[in-house]
Amino acid sequence: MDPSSTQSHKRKRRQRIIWTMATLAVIVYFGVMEGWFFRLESDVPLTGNILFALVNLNVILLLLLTYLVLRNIVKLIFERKRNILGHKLRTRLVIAFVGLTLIPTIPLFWLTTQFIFSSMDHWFTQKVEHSLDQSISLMKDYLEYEGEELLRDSQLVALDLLGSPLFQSDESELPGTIPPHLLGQYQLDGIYVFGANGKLLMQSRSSNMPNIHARRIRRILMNEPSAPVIPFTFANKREGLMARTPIRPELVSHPDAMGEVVVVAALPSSITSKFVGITAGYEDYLQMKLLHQPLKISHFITYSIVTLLVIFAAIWFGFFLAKTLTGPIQALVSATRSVAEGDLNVELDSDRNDELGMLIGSFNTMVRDLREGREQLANAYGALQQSHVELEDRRRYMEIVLTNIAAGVVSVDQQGLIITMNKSAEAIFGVKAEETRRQHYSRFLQNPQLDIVRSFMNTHRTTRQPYLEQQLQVIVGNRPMVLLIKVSVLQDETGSPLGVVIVFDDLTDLEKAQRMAAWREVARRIAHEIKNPLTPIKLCAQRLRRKYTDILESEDSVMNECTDTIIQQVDHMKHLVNEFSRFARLPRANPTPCDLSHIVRESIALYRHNFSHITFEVEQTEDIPLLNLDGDQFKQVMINLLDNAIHALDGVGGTISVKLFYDPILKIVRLECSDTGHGLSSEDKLRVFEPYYSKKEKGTGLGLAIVASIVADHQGFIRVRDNSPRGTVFIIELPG
Amino acid sequence: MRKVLTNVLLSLLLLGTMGLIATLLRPVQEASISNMQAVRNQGNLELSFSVEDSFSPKMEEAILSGVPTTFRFRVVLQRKKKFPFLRKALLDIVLEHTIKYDRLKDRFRIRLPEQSESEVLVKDFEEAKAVMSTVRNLRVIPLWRLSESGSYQLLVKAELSKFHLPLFFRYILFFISLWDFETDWVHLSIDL
Repeated sequence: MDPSSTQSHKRKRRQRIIWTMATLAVIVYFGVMEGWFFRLESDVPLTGNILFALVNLNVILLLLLTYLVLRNIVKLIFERKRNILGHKLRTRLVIAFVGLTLIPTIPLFWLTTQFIFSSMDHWFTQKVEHSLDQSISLMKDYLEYEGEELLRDSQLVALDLLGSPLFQSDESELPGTIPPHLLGQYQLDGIYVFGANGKLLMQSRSSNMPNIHARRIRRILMNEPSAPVIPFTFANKREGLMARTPIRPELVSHPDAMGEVVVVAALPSSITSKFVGITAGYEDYLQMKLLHQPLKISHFITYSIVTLLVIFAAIWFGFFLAKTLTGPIQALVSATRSVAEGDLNVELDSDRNDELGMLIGSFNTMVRDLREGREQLANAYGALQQSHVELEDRRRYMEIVLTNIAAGVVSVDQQGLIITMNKSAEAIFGVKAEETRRQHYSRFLQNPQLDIVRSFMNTHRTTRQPYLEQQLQVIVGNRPMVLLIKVSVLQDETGSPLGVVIVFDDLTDLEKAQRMAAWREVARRIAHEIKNPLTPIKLCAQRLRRKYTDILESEDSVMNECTDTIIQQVDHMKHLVNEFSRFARLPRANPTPCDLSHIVRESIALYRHNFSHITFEVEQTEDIPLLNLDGDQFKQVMINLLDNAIHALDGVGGTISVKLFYDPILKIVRLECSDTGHGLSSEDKLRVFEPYYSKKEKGTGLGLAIVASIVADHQGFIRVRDNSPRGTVFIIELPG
Repeated sequence: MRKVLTNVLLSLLLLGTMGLIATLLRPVQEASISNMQAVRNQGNLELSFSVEDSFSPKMEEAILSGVPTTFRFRVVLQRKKKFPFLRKALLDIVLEHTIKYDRLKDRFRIRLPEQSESEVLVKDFEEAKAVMSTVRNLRVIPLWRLSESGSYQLLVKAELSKFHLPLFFRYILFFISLWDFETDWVHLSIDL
């Protein structure tokens, strides 16, 4: 796993956790704030907008969730349009979650709202309201009844008090006292007598009455000056009634006593608490009735929000689940594609412990194994490649060796089809290797050559030797050649024959050179051994002729004839010996730039007049370059060739033609001297350049040997072939 | 780029929705302060004013249903300066009038903290409304605390402070501003 990607993954995860925690904290904070505002009744000055902002921040958070869901939906739509991997599974999961959420949520929402609405409608029926109203009326009636009773008591108390000296004596001092039996007599809790100026004149309180100051009673009375009965609340929250009876002026003589008599009665706690409860219930009812419609809206909105919350949460969870599922699958598919494209350096990162984590782990293991396998394969392939390269180098080396080897090499398979043929073999046989490949050898051999092959095969059959060697003189094309033929029978490890490899060593030049060297040695010895006695023999014969002149002068003298013959033969032998000597000791060539065609024409000119019955033809191309030749030696060459050609015509007419060509590619000048004579046999062609091989009666057999020697000294090459239709052609090739 | 555009569009959509909700739920009642006057009395600066159109029919119905209702009055006294942002409040008073209908006694119980008799019982609803929306002889500040040559400004504002909904309704009526009102600031210049 890449360490940087792991760190990035961890960082993202940490950020996600922080964001989630922060969002939760914000939700909790604003929830607490709302509760604080509504429940704790804080004194923070509120405005409608601030209240709205605070209350609805939760809605903003809900909208945030909506935003996230919408964003994911938009993303999904884009992914679907772009055909991004994994969108199908994600879409299905989201649709499934939405479906699974909507199916129970929508009916539940509908049922809940209907139930709540019908319940609320049921709460506020006329019957309930009427009952509550009746309860309140009953309560009021009770209070009114109690008030009337209290008012009557107050009047009776006022009458009782009128008989007291307080109201009848002018001199009596106020305040006075109220007879204590009056409280018990009328079951009152307090009796107060206020003067005309509101001054308290008399008072009497029972010990059970809750504490209330006379000034407060006076304030209550002043607050409602015309009301005969006034309900009020004691300091201990107990309810009470007070009733007032004005004291008429005609009934009292004391001017300050013209006030009012106030009686106070505390209502029983058991009843007043019930009254309070009934009143509170009725007020709650009224308030709820007042809030009937807003409550419905509020409930509807609340349930809608909850429903939306559930739906959005489900969608979001669907997205989340889809992401957790499709993420690894997408990564797996992408990684599989990479592997399919040959990238085995793929490794998926996963910290999951579920089946997907196992799948990713297995995938990583598989890719790792594949990578190792491929590395091993690559190593093996590299080794194979190296060995192949080595083999190929070796093969090329062998091919180069075979190509450049002087010996001709030809391999033939078991069926006699030619498999390989190197350049030397091509040169020897005058055919192209491409033309012979997979062809039977018999197509390229003539009968004498096929005889040789058969003799080899017979020998192999007889001797079972896998290797045969033989030096043979063969005619290849029109060229006589001396070849050392080596035949190797190829066999595999089981001994089955695979074919034959034939190696041809062209020994023609070598043998020629050896013969030449041998003949030169012979010529030198002959010249040395024979030349010395020839002079004394000739001198002796001449001395005999001088001494015995008389005998010589006689007719039919044997002496004359014999000495003359001796002298002639000695001269002839001297000439012969000189020729040998010249052959053996040919001067070193001294090449200078020469015009070969000029030499040819000069040489032919010597013969053209003497041999008028013979037609001499000269043919040449215009591009013959100057050649580095020893002019004298090459004149000798031409003379020897023309002598040879004239002799071949046997004194009868014919044509001797000399052709000169220049091959610019090979850069050689080719001279062909042909005659229409009797031609040469195959053996003659093989030996024609050997010294002292002559078919002429008086020939020394050195003419063509000298020609070959001079041509060789000029790095040239001479060969002989049959002329068409008859005669012989000598071909000289010189470097241009 | 498209991703950013999508985010921006969604954000604008949400903001638009929120703005629409805010507009719909905005209080529509237009209350105002009238009869505002400041007098010197017994070495004090006293302020009197009343709030007009503070009671909507729905609010009246709610009060008659026994819902305790509180008006909040805020009085700020500050020295006049050339630049408004340099003004410093000498005084910032908040007082609350609370009305509660006592069904048992068929009287309105009104708490007036600025008066010596902090709670009054009024039988008539119209009278109770008048008492509730009127501030009389509110002692703002002793005159000795004010400079003779100073120029001062009184700012007054009234709003519905609390609306004691029964039971748990206060928690669920998130979206209903009910019969909320809030006046603008009213200025009164005082030159001693």
